[in-house]
Amino acid sequence: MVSTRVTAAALDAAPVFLVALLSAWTFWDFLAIPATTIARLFLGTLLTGFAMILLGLRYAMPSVRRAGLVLVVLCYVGGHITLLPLDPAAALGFLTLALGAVELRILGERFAPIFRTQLDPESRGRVEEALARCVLRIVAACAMGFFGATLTADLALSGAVPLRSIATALLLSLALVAVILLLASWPLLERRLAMRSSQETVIQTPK
Amino acid sequence: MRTPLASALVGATVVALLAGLALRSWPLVLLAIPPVAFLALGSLEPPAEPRVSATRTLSRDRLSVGGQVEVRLVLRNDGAALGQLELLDVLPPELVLLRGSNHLIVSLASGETFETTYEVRPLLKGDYAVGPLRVRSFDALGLGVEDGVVAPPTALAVAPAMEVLQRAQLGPRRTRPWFGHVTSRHIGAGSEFWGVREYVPGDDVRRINWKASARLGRLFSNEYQGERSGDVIIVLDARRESAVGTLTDNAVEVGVRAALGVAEHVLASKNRVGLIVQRDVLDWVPPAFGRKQLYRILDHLIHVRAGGEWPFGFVTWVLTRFFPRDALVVLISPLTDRASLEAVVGIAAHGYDVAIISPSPLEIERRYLPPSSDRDTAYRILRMERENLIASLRRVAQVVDWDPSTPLALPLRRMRTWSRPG
Repeated sequence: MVSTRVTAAALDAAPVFLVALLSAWTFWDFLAIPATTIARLFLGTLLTGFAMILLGLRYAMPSVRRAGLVLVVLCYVGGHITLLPLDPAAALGFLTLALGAVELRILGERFAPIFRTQLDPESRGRVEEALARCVLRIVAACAMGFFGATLTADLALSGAVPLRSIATALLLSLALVAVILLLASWPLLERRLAMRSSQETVIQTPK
Repeated sequence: MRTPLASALVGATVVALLAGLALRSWPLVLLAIPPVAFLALGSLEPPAEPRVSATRTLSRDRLSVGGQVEVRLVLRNDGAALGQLELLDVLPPELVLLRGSNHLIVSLASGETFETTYEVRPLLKGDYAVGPLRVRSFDALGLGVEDGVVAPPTALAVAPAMEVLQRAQLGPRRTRPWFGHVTSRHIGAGSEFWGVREYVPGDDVRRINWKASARLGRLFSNEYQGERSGDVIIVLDARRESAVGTLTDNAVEVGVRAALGVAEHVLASKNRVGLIVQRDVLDWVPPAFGRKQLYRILDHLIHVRAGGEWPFGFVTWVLTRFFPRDALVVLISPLTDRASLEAVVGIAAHGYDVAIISPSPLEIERRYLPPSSDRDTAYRILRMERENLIASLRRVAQVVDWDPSTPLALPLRRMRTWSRPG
């Protein structure tokens, strides 16, 4: 069984490793750009973002750290739109890793302090079970995000879904509206869940 | 309740879509799909409102500093299944976790019961509240949370440790008209020989002095000094200036231990004891006998925290108005400033017998500083100043300069009698 301290250290290190990877990836891509003013601007922004991430980690300033990560992602996307070709698969991979880093950071903040304490075996088993469920969900979301987008791109490139058509634009707009409706109806979904569970409690009369 | 992450993902989706449409770049539109995937997966299982009932049991609700308490939590999920339920049993910073954890993340099916225990140790005296138990249900992707408070706080009283003062020479010189253990200057029931007088019918036969009777040809009886009780007033200096040291090891905490030990010793000797505490308020307990008085004093001492800027002279005002004049005043103070000297002179001038137990702030500070030649020099200078102050005080009071790392009983035992100075 993995020591709890190793688990806590891994939870702390994983998002840092991913963010370092993303920053190095962006910097590596920018090495291919000739030294122009706009290129230097992007490089400066990237270094600023990286410095903000380091500052935020060192001095426990979450807002600075988040702003730094946003700057790194914007540098990558902006640099690839303006100066470099934008490879959809690489960009999707980059964005998925960035979202994964954010989710792992939240996971680490929740679970790492618990793993640093002395847990009894039953509690430890339950905490590990909850952690495994969360990690599985994150991996599923990343896979769905990457492969779903890649499939969409393949369909578009193969001509199965025509890109420049009113139908496609309508479909995209409908998808956006559906997401917004889903988010707006979230509180209603929660209330219905709660009402259903209270009805089940009423039905289960005590012996 | 949505988290800022959910709002950020929505924002990222909208920005990617609009940027893609504005720049006519379909790969940019594609970048909107990963955040949407996260949002969609998160919305499939939104966090249910935690409807959890819990009971908290402490192994004991009163203990001393340094003791241990086991806290047992039993939770039951009375609502929908909770995939991720975060539990936090709020603890004050003075309670240190020894075993187990007060912070867990578990999953609870509907109707399931979960039990956990953890152990804490209090570092400081006081009245504490263990809890409340806060619960938070969240989804695996951190897009929504639902909070709740389940179990109200449970009270825990932590008493200070007590200095053991067996065989210490500490008691009032002047007595009151109650039976006790202090030798008075009156004839009565006691064990100290006073003199001889003629036998009177009714005298105890065991008191007949046979030698004197044989010599003088008639019966004579022995007389003894009556043993009565007296009053001791403990004055504890808990002003802000006296809190020299760390949160758990400072002159005020040490003074509280000494005050409790003195009170217990004096009450065990069948004397009355009262208490005055100078802190952010001027607090006092009138003198009385018995176990209940010890608990009254203990309840006051539990709440002592260093603070306040009241002049120390106010103690004299309270003493002269609310306490008897023929009491022994035991002042417990680190003597960090000249105000203490003036206060002691004022108390002695009103006719009180004064004894001072002074936990040395120099010894307390020295424990926590790394040694160096500069610090040694400073220590010697401050030591001389302190000895000068104590020498001035010895003209009006008995003074015990106490290193708190040693038991208080040792310096008190070395004092043979508390005779009036000068």
